[in-house]
Amino acid sequence: MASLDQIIQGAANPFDPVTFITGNFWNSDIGAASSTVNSIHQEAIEEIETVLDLVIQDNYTRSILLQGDSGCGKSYLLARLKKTFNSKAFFAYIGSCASSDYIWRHTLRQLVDSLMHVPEGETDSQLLLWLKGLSAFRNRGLMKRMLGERGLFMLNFRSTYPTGIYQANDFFNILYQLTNPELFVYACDWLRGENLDQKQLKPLKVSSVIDSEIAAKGIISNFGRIAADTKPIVLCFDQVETGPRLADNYLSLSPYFDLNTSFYNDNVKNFVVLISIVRNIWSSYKGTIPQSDLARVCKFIDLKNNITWEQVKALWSLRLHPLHCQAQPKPESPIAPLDGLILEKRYPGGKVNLRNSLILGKELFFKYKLGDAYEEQSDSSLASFKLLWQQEFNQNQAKIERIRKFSSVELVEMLKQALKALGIEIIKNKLLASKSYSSHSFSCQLPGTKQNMGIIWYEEPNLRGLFYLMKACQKALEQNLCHGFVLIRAENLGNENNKGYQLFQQVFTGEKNRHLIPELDSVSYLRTYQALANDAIAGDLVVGSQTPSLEELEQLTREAKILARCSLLLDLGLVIANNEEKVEEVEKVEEVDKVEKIDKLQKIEKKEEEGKKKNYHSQN
Amino acid sequence: MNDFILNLVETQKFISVQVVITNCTKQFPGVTQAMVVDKAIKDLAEAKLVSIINPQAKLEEKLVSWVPR
Repeated sequence: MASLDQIIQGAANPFDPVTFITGNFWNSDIGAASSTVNSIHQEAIEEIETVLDLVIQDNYTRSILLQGDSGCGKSYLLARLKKTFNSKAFFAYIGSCASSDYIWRHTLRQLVDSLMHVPEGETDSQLLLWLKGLSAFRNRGLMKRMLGERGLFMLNFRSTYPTGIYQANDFFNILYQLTNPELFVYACDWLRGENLDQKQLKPLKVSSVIDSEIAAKGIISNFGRIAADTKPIVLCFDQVETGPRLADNYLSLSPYFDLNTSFYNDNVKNFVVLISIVRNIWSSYKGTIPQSDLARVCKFIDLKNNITWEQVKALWSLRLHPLHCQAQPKPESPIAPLDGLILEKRYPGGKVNLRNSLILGKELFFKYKLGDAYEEQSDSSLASFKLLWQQEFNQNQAKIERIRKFSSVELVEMLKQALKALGIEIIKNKLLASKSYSSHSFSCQLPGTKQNMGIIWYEEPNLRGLFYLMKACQKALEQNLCHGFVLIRAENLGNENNKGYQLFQQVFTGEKNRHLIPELDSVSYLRTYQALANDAIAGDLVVGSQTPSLEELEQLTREAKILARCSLLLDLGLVIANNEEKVEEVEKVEEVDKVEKIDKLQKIEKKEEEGKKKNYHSQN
Repeated sequence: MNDFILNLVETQKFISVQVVITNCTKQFPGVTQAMVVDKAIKDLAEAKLVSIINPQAKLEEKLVSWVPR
């Protein structure tokens, strides 16, 4: 076996920031290292557990505001909460919301997405576990034979919850369809608020769709109303500082607090609402929240900014453990080759920021590995960024199995963020006048010109919705709002018999107004950039040993030319392909041309030869 | 994948071939050891973007180093 020194020479730095993953705890096994140092943030965990236990006892919804400096481990804490308490509560991760007039639909969509995940050690999704925990579901008797499976299910639910359920018939029907593996995904789509087409609604035996804030609020309330006899649901609102911005770029936090207050006012039970926010943002914006909303927050938890030397050493030891396991002889110190004395020198106060302790670990490990060469090393932040991008992109590519994983409004927001990174100016944030479609559209300036382009992204399957969208587009066209319009849509457009399709044919034909079918990979590119941008806004992004701001991230993205690989942006004409890739493509084309030319030449020569032969034969 | 390996070696300065293989197979499902060693690392070394410090050593002991540009 190799010595620790030999192993370190060949190892990747175990403190690399590619392990500083933040974001949705259902998408990655985050916190594997830091969250297992149990003493870190233990007090906060205990305080949250006390609140959770109260909700389990009396079913009354409670809310917690968790504030802490960026890099103090808020995202790790959320992941650890889910890991520790998933056996006694369901956990939903609610990421950044793009628009304040969309908060209920956004919350519902993300709630259902989280509920579709299977907790550790279980075989059923959280959603099915929740359903099976309801007494109305368990209560199955002799009447099953008389009424049939579905009839009994509906009767049980209607008699257990006779009033106060929003769209009761459709909602109970959907709950029943969740038990049918063939219809599970469609039933989830309905619950997520997708504007399904009649053809998709028919097998679900429902007539309505959740296409408004009121409807989304009603369905979330349903979860709370009938949840009294099952486990509570913990709604984790993370990175709220990346949330909707008002016209003057002022952060709008009130939608989150309005939502929380509604839970109390409408007596929606069995939720724990956990809002996680960066301390300085909270200090600046706390004054914008009405006192009546603040009064609804049951507990304010101030996450300790710093951890102790001993906790830092425990963290380091966990990161180094895999290398120690391979070494022979076994190192005497659990943090070898690092020396804990450096902590006393650098942080004589005995307290260190969690993220800084890992950045320090990285620096010390590198110094040991490279020796004298450490001082000579050049800046590799671009390479670090590309690695981080690759990891985030691969994760997204694996998780995004269809474009409709995101709502059309979310897709539009992702696209706008990517354009901002490319330095493309957004002229109008909401282009179409129609209230139903304004959030699906925007206009931007075409690079190198004074022309502006209108972009509409609409993936809702409902063809009636498409028809009204086409009417809104037609109106915008008549008003000459833009030089040209692009409709982005991968979903079905219908056929000649559909009015929406007929209008589409009139509006989106020709050069000025185009229709683009996005590829799934394009969405992975846009989502990857959005996740990194949200991390940068929240101060959670670490590249190499730096924590870049949003502007610095935009700069890195442009330098890395990563978005130039996104086919949607290429098709929109907003980026040009990477030069290197272009050269390769040109070479390929030239190669093909060369082969074709030779082929043509050979054919001509052959013809000439045959002609000569014919002439020769005819002459003889 | 070549780009990924190059970025990995650049950030780590030098790293064992074995660790490169592990990282590549984790990031790119379906990638084999041969694709990493016989194709990608070989191409990068020929283009003088990386170098093998100890080419005669056994695979598990080989180290790839970044060549500053």
